[in-house]
Amino acid sequence: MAKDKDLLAGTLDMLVLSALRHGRMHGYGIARFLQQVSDDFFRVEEGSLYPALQRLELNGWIEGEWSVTPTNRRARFHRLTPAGLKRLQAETERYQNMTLAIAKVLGSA
Amino acid sequence: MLGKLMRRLRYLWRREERGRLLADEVESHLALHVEALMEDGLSQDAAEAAARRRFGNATLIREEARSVWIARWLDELIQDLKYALRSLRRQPGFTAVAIASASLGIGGCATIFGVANAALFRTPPNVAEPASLVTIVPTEKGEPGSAFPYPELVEIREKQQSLAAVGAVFPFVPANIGDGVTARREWGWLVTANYFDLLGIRPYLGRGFLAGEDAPGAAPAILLSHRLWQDRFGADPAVVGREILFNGRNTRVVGVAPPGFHGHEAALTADYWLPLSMLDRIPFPKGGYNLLKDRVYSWFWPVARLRPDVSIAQANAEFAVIAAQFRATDPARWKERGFYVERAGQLQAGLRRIFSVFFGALLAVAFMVLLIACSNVANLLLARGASRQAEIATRLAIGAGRGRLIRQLVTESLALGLLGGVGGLGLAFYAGRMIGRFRLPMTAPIDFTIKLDSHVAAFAVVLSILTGLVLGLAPALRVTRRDLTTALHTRTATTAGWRRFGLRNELIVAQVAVSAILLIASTLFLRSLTAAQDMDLGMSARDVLLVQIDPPANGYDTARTRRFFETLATRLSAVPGVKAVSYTNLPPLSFITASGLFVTEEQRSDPRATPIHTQAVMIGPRYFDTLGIPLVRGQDFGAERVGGEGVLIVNEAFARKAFRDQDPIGRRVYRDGKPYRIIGLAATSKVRTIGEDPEPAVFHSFAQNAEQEEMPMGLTLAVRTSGEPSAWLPAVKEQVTGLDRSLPVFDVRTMKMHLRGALLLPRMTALMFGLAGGVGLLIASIGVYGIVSFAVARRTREIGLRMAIGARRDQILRMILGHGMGLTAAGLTLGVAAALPAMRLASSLLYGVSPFDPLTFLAAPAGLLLVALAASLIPAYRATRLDPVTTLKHE
Repeated sequence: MAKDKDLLAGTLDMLVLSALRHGRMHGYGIARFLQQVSDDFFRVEEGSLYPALQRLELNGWIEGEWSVTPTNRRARFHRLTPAGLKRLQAETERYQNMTLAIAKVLGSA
Repeated sequence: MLGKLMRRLRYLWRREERGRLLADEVESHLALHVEALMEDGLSQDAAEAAARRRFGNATLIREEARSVWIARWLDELIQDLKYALRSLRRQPGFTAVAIASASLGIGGCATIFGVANAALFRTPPNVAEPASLVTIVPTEKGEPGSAFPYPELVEIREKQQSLAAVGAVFPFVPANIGDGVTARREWGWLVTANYFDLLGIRPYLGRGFLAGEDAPGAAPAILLSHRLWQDRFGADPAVVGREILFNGRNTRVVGVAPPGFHGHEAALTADYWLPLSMLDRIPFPKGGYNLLKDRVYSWFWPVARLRPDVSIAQANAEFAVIAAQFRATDPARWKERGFYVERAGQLQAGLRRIFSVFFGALLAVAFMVLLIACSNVANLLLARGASRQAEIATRLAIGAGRGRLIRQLVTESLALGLLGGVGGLGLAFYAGRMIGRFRLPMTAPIDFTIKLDSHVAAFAVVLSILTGLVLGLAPALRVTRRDLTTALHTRTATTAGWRRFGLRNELIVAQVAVSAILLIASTLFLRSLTAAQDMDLGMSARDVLLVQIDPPANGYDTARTRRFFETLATRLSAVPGVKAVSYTNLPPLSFITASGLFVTEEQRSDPRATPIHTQAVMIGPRYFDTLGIPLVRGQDFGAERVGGEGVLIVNEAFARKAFRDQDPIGRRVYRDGKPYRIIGLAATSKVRTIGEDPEPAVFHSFAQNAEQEEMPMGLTLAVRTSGEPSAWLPAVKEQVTGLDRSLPVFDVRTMKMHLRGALLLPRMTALMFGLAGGVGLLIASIGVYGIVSFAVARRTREIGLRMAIGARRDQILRMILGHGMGLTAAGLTLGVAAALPAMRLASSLLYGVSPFDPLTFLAAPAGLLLVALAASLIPAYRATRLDPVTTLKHE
């Protein structure tokens, strides 16, 4: 978990936001989604996921509501808010700029 | 940003709902995971186990997720507070007593601090840059004074470089202010022309004084306070530039001061300002000197502005040099004198020292009261702690952190302390209002307003936090310190009796003793007050109206003043219901005295004879009829000639002292070498104070003697009426205005009110001791209650044992009561023993009641005993209700 935290500090928020771009999801769904899409690279710890969800909600970037899964289970679904979408775009851009810069530095070495 | 804050607050507010939400979400997460695992083919049990393993500590995760929006410590604090409030609410009696004690202690301290704060450190309102406003303090033999002769200030001003401007004020000018229709008495200040510029005060209307407007011969000018302008002149802007009547003479209003400005001196107020050139318009006794030129009286209080680049210390360095120069050039005048600079707006340096000591002592006493009140509440808390020990031991045993428990207990006492602080501030606010409403029994430019500013509030908050900590920490440490096994097993196993309470017992004895002294004193003073009110004054105080009128201020000479009062008396006597009218320069039982030295014919030839020192006032005809003092023999004034043979009326006390048993009528006495023939003998009545022994008094005829006396407060008109005297006030006003509409009628009071003023001292003492006695009684009873409760709590097991082996309830009751009553009896004995010599010291303050009044010495201790009995009865009764089985099993 500690490794995850280091690696994903800041990044996890962005990943969660980008996951929610595909529609509303519950916590377990987000964890599964990130794991599958990243080909098992990201194994999101619940211990990081739930604080992240609380943080995003507190910032007003996502909002949650109780609903029912296709298998008829109650779950809390999170959805991106307009503010969250804007945040995601800003974060993505910043991330791309940064990776580009890192790539340039690494390439010039 | 704002949205985030609002959400955070909303989450905080609904912490529990949010917490549940999170828990539900985590549960559903697990369920979904289990479902997924079962789809992969695991059995339900295996899936659940795997999901839980994968998830980790659900509670911890929940806590971490929560800590995103709520800090752990805050969460716990809220929890502790809720716990504390719940447990306080569960015991309303204890809570009320504890809060009342803390309120009293904190309220007392805050009130005294508030008064000191207001008296000592008031920043002058509306003044620009108060930090650079200074005053020059004169010293004599190192003692600070307040005022200079004007020429000296001019000298200093011209010598120095540190001050940008130097001004001066004389803050005690009473005057008759008239608008042409009626007149009123108001107090104002004489100031130098630069006063308002120096303070940086821009007039609300019109202008300040012009340079040179304070020089002799300048046109008369006056600047009104905003209050006076509103009350007296109906807030009419056209008043500015117009002339009003100042002491009967036309004076131009040049401006109106901004609202709320009453001068820069703490505790003094002004309702108008005059340039120094108006000095000759005020009839204050000046002894024939020109106060702007002659260095006789120290009349003028300096006020000055520092240069922007000069500090007070630098200014003082310069002033020390100047003072040394003065001493060198004029040693006769300056030998032991000097001066220095300090910030303005504080109480006068000389008074300040006395006040600081006085308030320091008062504050120390109030702190003591607070400490005692705290120790009593701490006893109560200990008693509660003892009965909660099982609960706490259990909680410690199952792993509660000691720190957390202490925090919880201290939070509880902090809550008590803060609630006490709120109560205390309320008390201080109320007390401040009462003090602010206090008025001297005469008009005076003194401001008693007490503002509870942020300093006082901060003081109370700090005090209540301290109170809370002191209250809570000791019991909390004590309760949680004991190691688990002892606490669980031998918690109340002792039967060592009351001695174990050692110091605590002695404290209670001391409390009872002090409150016994206070109660005895307050009962004595109360009885003395009643006695003083019923005392025979030698006159009839019913149905007499007294008012002040000041014609000399308006330039009336003696003859005109006398004619004025005689005409007034004649006209008023014609008013239906008026029985008699007279006047005097000083009515009996006033705060001021006027005395003279008289010698008899025989004493004149005997150089060793001591003259008779006596009250000597001036009166008009029918004075004795009006005040209801019997004229025993001889005749009243009325026929004497101005400039003719001097005549006198004396009272019997004077006659006895001067002539023993001989008839005084027709005899001569001498005052300042001038002979007077005694024409009348009046019965002895009270002269200066209500408590005095028969006091000699001499009455001059106003017509013959007015030139000799200064009368800064004018004369007193006395009217005897045939009913409630205030009903005749309109008639008096009408007649005065009819004679001269520039003369106000002021300090209106009935003789009864005047006497209440004379009783100010006994009333204040009775009130102070009554308050102190009440507080003492309350605190002592709480103390007794607290210690007996504590004892019962500590001895629960012993009591159970005793009952189990056959002790009857009444025996238990007697045993517990014995403790409280034993302490009370010891305290009472000490208190009464100390009160006897203490009351002897106070005997000069007592009227018509012996300092050893047996009724007082019986009633006050008996009352205290009853209260203490009630206070110990409550816990004692509780002890008898204990069920032996439960108490013994309770381990």
